[in-house]
Amino acid sequence: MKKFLYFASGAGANLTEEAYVAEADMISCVVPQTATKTAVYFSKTDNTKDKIVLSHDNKTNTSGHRIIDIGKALAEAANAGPHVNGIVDVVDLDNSIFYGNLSFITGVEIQLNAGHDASNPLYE
Amino acid sequence: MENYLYFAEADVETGDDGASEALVVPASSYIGADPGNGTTTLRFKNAMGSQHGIHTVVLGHTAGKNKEVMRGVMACINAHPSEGGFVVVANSNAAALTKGTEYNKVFNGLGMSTVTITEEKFGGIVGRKGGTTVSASYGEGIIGTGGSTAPRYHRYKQGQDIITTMTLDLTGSTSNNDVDDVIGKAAGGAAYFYKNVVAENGVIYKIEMSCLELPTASSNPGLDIDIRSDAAATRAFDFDASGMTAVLTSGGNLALGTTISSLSTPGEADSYYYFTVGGAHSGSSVYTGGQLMVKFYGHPARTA
Repeated sequence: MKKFLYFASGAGANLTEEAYVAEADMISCVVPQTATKTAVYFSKTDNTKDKIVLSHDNKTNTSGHRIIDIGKALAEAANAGPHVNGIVDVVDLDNSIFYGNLSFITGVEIQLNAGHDASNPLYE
Repeated sequence: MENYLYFAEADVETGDDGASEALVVPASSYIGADPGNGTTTLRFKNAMGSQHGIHTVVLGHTAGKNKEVMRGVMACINAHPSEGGFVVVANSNAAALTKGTEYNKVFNGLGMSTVTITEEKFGGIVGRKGGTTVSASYGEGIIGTGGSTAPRYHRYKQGQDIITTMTLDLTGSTSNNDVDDVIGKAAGGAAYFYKNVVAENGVIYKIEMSCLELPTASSNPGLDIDIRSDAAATRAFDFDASGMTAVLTSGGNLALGTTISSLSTPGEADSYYYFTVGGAHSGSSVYTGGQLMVKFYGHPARTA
C-alpha cells in the first residue's frame, strides 16, 4: 500500500499551503536550514518541488540537531505498517497530532513549487 | 521498505544553501561512488527535489579502504534496521556533546573520520535577494511590481553543459533616457539580477536574452536594453554603467519573441549582471510590462 504523509500548519487547513499531503516515496531529502529549522523536500513529476520547513528547539550543542529525530520519524512514517490506512499524520498543528516523538515541532511552513516563486519572502 | 540514510558533519547548524551540514536521503537515491586518496565520494540523485540535482557526501577514512567503504555503504542501503528504516551511516557530529559521533558498525576498522556534504542544485533555484555568494542572486533594485516580481531561476544539465535561465518581469523598473544607465527601481537599491559563479554555472561561453513580453510604459518605453557586468554588487538605477563590461548589446529595440546572443564577452567570473539602457528613448519611463529571459550557457572549467 502506498503511504502518504500529512502536514498541517495550524492555520485551519482550508487554504492552500495550510496543509500538505505527499506520497512518502517522493521524499527527496531532509536537510537542516538553521539550528531551529529543518527542511523536508518532496520531488514532483514535473521537475518542480515542494518544501516543508519545520521549526523546533535548538539541540545543536546538546543531543544534536533535530534533523536526526525528524529523519527517524519520517522513515518510520514512510514505512508504517498496514494498520495505517495509507495516510500518516506527521505533524498536524491544527489538531496537535505528532508522529512518534515529534511533539517538539512548533511550526510548519508549506512551500509549494519551492524555487519557482522567488518573490515569496519565505524563500529570501 | 525504504531505508533512509543519515549523514552529518562535525557541526550541524545550517544548510539548504548548497552545503547542508546534515542529510537524510532515501537509499533509492544512491547512484554510485568514486574513490579518492583517503576519501570515498557518494552521490545521490534528486537533491533538493530536483531531477537534475545531486547530493555529494565525501567520507574520509583510512587510505586504501575505498572498496570496503563502498561495500559498507551497500550494507547500510540493504540493512534491516530496527528503527523503521532509519540508518545512521556516518555521523561526525561531535558538537552534539551528549551524543557525539557515530559511524555505522560496517565501517569498523576503516578509520572513518570525516563527512562533507554538498549539493549541486538544479531545476528551480531559489533566488537570494541581496545575495553575493550564489549565482541566483539579485538586488532589491530589480524587484518589480508586476505579477512575478523577483527574478526566477532554473538550471539544468545538457550533457556536460550547464544551462541557467533567469526570467524577470520589468514592471515597476525605470529606464532613464540616458544610454548605458542601469535599469532598476527609481527608489534605488542594487539592480543586479545574476552573479557569475563559475563553480555553479561553469565557464560561461554564451549568453542569450529573449523578449517574452514586449516592454511597455505609459510613454517612451525603453526597448533597447543591453546587459553589462561589474565587479560591484551595488549599482543601482541611474548609475552610469559605461565603464562596466558590455556583455550583450542589443543594437536596437527588442521585438517580441526574438533572441539576441553574446558569444564574445560573457563577463568576468564573480561579476554581477545588470540591464542597462541601450538607446535613448525620448524620456525616462517606468515599465508597465515586459518579460525578459536571460540564458547563460556554461561548461565546467577544464584544466590541462
